[in-house]
Amino acid sequence: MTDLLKNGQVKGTGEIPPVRPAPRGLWWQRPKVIPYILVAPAILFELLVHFIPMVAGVVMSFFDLTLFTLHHWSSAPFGGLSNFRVALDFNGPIGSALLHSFEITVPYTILVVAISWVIGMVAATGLNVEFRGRSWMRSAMLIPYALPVYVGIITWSFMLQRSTGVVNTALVNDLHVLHSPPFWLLGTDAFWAMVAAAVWRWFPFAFLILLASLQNIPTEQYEAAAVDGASAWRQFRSITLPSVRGANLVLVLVLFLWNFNDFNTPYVLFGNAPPSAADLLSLHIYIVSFDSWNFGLGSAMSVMLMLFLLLVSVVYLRVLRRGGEFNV
Amino acid sequence: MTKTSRKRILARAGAVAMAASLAVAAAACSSSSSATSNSSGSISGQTITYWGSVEGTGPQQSTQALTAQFAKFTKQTGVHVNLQVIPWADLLQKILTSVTSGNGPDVMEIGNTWTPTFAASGGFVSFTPSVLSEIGGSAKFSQAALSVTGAPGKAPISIPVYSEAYGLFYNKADFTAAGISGPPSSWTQFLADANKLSTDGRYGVAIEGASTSEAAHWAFLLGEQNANPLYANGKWNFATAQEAKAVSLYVNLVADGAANKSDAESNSNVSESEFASNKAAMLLWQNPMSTLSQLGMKTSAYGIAPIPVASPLPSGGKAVETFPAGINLAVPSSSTHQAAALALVKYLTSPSAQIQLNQTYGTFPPVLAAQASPLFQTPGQKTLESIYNNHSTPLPPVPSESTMETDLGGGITHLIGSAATGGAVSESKILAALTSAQDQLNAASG
Repeated sequence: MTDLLKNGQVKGTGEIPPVRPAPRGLWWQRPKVIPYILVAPAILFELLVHFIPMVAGVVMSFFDLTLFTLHHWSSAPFGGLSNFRVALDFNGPIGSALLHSFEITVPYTILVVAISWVIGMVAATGLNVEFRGRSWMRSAMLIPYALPVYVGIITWSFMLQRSTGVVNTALVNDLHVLHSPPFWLLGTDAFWAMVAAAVWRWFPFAFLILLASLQNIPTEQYEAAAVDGASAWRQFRSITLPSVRGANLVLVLVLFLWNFNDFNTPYVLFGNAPPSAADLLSLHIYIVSFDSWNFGLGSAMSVMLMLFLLLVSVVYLRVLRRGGEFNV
Repeated sequence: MTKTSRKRILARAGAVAMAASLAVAAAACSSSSSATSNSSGSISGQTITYWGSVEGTGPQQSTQALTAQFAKFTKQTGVHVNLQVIPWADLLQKILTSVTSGNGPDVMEIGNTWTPTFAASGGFVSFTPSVLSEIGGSAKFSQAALSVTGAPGKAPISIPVYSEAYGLFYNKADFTAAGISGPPSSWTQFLADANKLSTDGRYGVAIEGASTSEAAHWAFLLGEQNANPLYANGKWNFATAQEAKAVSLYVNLVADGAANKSDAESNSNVSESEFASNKAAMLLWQNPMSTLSQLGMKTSAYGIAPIPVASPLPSGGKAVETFPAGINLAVPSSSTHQAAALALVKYLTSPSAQIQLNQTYGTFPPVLAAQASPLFQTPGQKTLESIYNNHSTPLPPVPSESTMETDLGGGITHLIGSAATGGAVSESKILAALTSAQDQLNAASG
């Protein structure tokens, strides 16, 4: 911020504006102070909304904050690392359930990110070409992203009901593909139901980011490649993919973080007793905290989730920085 | 620095940080009870906040019924009541948040099975004998209802307001058509009847297979009947072969063909509508009368009987047919208008309010003077009242009861899912699930 306004100049404009003497007004009118005053409300609210709850969560993880101590939380006994020990004891009932939840969350996240990316990329490439009705189709692609999450996911839950859902009505009664209606929201199918709902919700975001990036590629590059006899696939590999790399890297990271933390999809589909195959980490931690009234333990699990995601993000960005093309 | 003193400093620093952060959070939430105390000491002119649960046919009926009562209460006392009806899915967490932050209503309706849990939290006014005398004394309540009002051996932290009992509701016409003379009294007869009644797209019984609390309740009732109480000798006791055998009846209803396989996904009172639309001939439920009539089912179309009992009862088994279910009123200790709050508790447990509210909701009054009203002397109501007063045992009155409902109930709903997708579930598989749920429960509740 100070760099931008050093000596009253605006960096990077080329032309140096005449230097004005610093006004001799009140202290808060000084150019060096004004930016801080302007960002102060944002910082204050950032602290209130994000930072303080995060610190509270970390602090809570070191305390035995349970049903018995909740009302007088300020005198809850200090438990040190005991909550972390319980959560990480993979032979114990709580640790093994947490590990199971982790093992479900990893493939869920990878699948949702990968499938959303592929659908988003195909759609963005297809809709980057001029044709009649293109803008209408572009808008239509964004509908899942524009709908409130709850509305979208509860609709999936209605569609996937065994006896009354539209999916089984179509498969069994109309198309006669199946003889008896399967359960989509029970057993292992629940995992795939959850992946389908999440992909439906996230692919428009991938589409939006990739489309914006595709629009920056000069059409001359494709024309030159076509003249040289490059096939469409070759053009996609050699022009499109490298050009969207920057956007892609951020997109994949953000989709990974959001899906790894996904609470809405399993909670709206399954409530507080998800099938074992759909026991994602965020919901798992919520159940430990709110149904067992063990907020210390729930916080410890949340802190570990945060540290894991931080580690993944740092490693991801480090590896890419080494690649040299993407500077964060 | 010694390890102990460093630990103490860390603990203190942590407590300060937690206090600061929670204080900010608490300050950010404005108090919902906006009234100012009346300096004269009279409660007239105060405004208190009331959290109602969803009773009867839904939030609209609860709002209307309570608003009508509050208007009369305001006329009598000058106290205004700000009503909020909270959906069941949110109620427990809202209460929890209010206990922690000290920002909440002045009076709230709570599920009575939560009372031991809430008693342990220490966030509610105790109804000591002197407080009880302010609201009319304990003698005005049925003893069964007073048995689930807090921690055993301690002063209650809540007061019963609506009572319910499990019963067997059966479609009379279906029974006649199938040539069944009367409701089954044993589980063996129940299963035989259910299979006989399952015909032409209709099933013998409707269950809420995905409801964790229903599952936990059935584990409790079947356990009591089969001499396996869920909680015994100071610890949870459901990871046993005996309990697995008892629960197998409920788990396998969908596999036996007695209930629709799709019931494994049912939650949110779907079974009441299945019974009302004659997609099922029997319903095992707590006081569904007002919902059934809203769904268009005439009172004359169904009969009410006690739920079946294991026959013969195994040694040590008890003919338990329900637990004293229902709703209680609690006053959080953070309430700044406790006198007005207690006045409202007194009003809502007066015979006239009791008769009107319980009549509307299809529940029965825990207040003896109201129970005597002719409105509650119908054969169906008398049956449920008799089950409640003579064949009920409270759910384990321990703080981890609500966690048990999630852990054990969750385990059983998953088993019902397996029974629906893969056929009958073996007792050994049930035992494995019960063991896992009990381990989880013991570990989580310390």
